[in-house]
Amino acid sequence: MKVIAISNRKGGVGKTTLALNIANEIRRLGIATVLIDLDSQCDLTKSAIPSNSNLPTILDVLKGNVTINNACHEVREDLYIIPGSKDLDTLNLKKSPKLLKSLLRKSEDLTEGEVGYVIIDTPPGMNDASTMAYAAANHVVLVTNPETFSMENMGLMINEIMKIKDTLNKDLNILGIAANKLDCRRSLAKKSMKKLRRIFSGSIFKVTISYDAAVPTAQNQQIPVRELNWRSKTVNQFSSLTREILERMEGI
Amino acid sequence: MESLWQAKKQLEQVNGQFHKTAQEVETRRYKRAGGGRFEDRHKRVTTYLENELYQEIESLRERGLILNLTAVVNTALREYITNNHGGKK
Repeated sequence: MKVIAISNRKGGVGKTTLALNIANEIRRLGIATVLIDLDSQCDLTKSAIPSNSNLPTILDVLKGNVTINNACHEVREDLYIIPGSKDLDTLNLKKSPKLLKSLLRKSEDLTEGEVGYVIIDTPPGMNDASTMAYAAANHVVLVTNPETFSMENMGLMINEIMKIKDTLNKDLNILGIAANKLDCRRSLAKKSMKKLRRIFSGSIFKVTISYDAAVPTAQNQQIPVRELNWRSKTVNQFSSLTREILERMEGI
Repeated sequence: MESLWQAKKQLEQVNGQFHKTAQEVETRRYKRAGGGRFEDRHKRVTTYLENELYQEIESLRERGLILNLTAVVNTALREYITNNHGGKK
């Protein structure tokens, strides 16, 4: 089982969108995948579970009220989600940053090959929940929006990951940087991408995700982009990005 | 701009020597083999796989988890030789 944290301090870069669509592409390859919503805004939960129901949340898991297995809600064949909680920030996680890691390890189904990947949607900023996500993850995928401040703040993000690697999780690595919401009709976007590739070279994923109406439409309908009733170019992009991510993990 | 170069150095620090993109894996393999054409660096052989193993490999290939069977076989043989006969890595 591999755990991937989708990450950036900056909000609105597309972490949730990437988490949902990458997970959907992985499960379409026949690999069972679990999504964990660690953001108290619960956007991933709202994207994956249409109805507002009383399902156990990640908060219930962390409090020990329910096991991880029982909190996994099946949203599609081979795709599960542990819903987020708006009250997650009320839980004091400072003393137990490795709590999620140990719960994932103890979960029988997850560790005995039933689940191939766990994908964690991390909250913006750096708080106890995000620290816990990086402590539990094997890999981090950094999401950036090349035209905005999210690119300039990348150093801060990587610095924080470095500290967590030193203190909590020496096996953590950054799988790569995914460029999202790219509008290549704009010269600023092209310049920014060129700059990113020149500086980060092989650390940037080859595939970029375009700025496309399909994404907010899919979010509004609470489905992955692949399930829209038209085939957006972002479907192939998410599929190719997912293959690139899997390929990089195979290479490590 | 300066901050991005700094971020790149920090990323390399995080990943240390273990970070291998697909391109780096291929480049290192190519350099280790001393460069040259694929046909000059490889010997074509015919071998037999057990049916169950073959099905497993095909399933992994269909799922996109194995992209290059030659690379997998070469890696497996290299590890076997290293672990059992003390060959070079």
